Amino acid sequence: MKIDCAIHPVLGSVEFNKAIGSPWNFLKLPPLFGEKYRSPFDQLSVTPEQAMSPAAVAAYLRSTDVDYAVLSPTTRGYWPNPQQAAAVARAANTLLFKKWLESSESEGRFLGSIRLAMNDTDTALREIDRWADDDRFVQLVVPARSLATFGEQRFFPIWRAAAERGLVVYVHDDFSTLIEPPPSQVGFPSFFAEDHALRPMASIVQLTSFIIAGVFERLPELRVVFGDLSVHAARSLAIRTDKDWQSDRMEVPWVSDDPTTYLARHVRFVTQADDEISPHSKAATGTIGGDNSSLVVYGSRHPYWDGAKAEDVFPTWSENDRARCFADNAVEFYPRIASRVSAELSS
Amino acid sequence: MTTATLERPEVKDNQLEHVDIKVIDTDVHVEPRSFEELIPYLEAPWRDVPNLIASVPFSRPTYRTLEGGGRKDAYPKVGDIGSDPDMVGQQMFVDDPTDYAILLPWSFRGFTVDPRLDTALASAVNAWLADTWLSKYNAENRYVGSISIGIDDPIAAAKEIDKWGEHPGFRQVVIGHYGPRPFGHPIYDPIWEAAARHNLPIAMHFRGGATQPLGWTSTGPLQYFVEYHSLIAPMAYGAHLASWICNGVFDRHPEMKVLFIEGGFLWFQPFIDRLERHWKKTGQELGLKKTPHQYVRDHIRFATQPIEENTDPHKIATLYEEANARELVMFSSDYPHYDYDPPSKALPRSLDPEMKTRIMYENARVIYDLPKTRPVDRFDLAGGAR
Repeated sequence: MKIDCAIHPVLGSVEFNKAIGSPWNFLKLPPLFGEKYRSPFDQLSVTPEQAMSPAAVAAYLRSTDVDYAVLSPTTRGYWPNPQQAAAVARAANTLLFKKWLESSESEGRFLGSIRLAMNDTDTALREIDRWADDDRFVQLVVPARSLATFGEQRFFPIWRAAAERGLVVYVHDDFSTLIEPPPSQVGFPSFFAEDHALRPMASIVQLTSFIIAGVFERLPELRVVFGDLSVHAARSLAIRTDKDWQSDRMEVPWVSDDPTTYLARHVRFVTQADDEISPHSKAATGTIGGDNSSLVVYGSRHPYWDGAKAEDVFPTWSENDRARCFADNAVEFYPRIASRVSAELSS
Repeated sequence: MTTATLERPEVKDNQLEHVDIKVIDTDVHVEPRSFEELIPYLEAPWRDVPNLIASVPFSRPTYRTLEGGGRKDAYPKVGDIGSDPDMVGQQMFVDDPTDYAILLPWSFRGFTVDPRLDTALASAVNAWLADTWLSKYNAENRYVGSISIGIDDPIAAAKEIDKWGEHPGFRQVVIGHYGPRPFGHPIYDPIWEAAARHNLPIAMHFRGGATQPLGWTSTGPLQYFVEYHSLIAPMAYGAHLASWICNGVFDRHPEMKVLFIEGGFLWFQPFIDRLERHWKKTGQELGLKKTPHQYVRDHIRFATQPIEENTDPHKIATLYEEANARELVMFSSDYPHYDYDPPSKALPRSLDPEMKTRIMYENARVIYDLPKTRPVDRFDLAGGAR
């Protein structure tokens, strides 16, 4: 079995704008990958039409022997107007449901993500209620850059709803920009290469915030997957947080375990292309401080240019460890995928 | 009549006995006993502005450890930690012996929003450091200085570097982690050019300053000091590192060296892997000569404290190997702060001797062009047996 946890169908400008509807739709939506950091190449690995087509994505999944794929389209950035943001999230969910999950081409492979606008927690909870009874929705998707850290109390009801309903929280860069703090804490870099290298930082901040604010301590069932952060980048900084927590735990008395312990218990990481060249990837365990083979879930990031190909993922790991990354870890971690697979096995 | 003639005393070899350098500490903070001490070193017209020093916010109240900040045994009777030369000398060179202490004056952090005043303060701190810790307190020549600059005015900063660049006591330029743009931006070039002119490494140490949104990240402000202290430095250092690489600063200044202090080193490998993995595509518009990992190896060093550990002590040597700590890491203690790492205990025991040697002194000795031996002095005689 193979599960692809990171498929990012593109919501086309025209269809998306139409779904957003009056009065919130724009004459022209912001471009998918933003306006500021123009890559010196095409950021889609397929044509835009293929990226928008359920049939083409289903064909890609067949060609890579994927049994289930978790779909999470982006919504072109953080929308400052909360009513508009809610309309955008709902439009993304409606399109994902109607055009993708319900499509005949899906052949039962497509699983969905409930997109939330982070401006307004009450509205986000209503959006979860709108879709969560459909067990094809296996996760919430929230943008890594949300203008606030996820440990803040204002977000807590969202995480509680996720834990209660067996939904994973998927943290994923939402590329384009409507309102935009600099991508680094020291201002705007000059080139696409820098911006691309810096992207995982926001996810690292969110991961640390979940741990240190005690969200995992308060919600033992909460599960979070990071879509754009390698397990090594996460661990290398979590090891540092371990050290700081040792000397400053007085400040956060509710954190009762090492930060890296929470990481292993509550968090998984989608495979990243940089895993291929990392010296930390040579072995499945014992490099950078732990059992990494249990912490990665395969995700191709199709149709983006910087995805990981299944054949290139952790090439030096044993077949058994790679198999865990391709399916077992996801089945164990996503409650709704677990129920689906066990129902399938028992039928 | 004969007279007793005593043996003429042999003239002693007046060469002092030398010992090998074994520990170089790249992160030691010193302070004036009182900030008023800086006033005579201020240039006109600042010297005569009433209450000027009293009005400078030398520390910020946000993101502070509840532990108080200082090593409990490092508070002198008068003045702040790191301000009493007798105590610093005793603790640095006798109690847990270090050969050379690289001084980063904590008192200047760019605390004002007025770039002219910042430049004047930097200049006063340098004059004060040269007069005190690099002269009056430095009979043994164990202290090595850093040139402070006001980063918000790069032209004035370059002049300040030129002023002290050939002073034998100053061996590097120290900067904070914050600028409104990452430091590869061309506005900062005069600083790197001046440092290169005098062969001075750049030491970056995170610190608060008046013009920066302290603790603000790309996704909002951090809530806790634990988050701040573990993330803020590596994230800023990564942004500057990518910026220096991508803007071609290292190609323009092939000898430029940057030391990242108190920001750890484990993070750089995954960060640079991400840049390196796609370099052929993402770097094609930049026209650069090397790959990101090559730039790191040639230009970047990392200080140890707070040393990164592993819950499994058997694995820690692997961690250091993977991060190429042998070539890239230099010991630091962060004296006199609460999370001080003593040189005798900082490194994990499982590292091989060659790696230990390089981290404890050799990498720093090469970067700062310090001698391999030094004369025995009163600190050694005071019992600092190693």
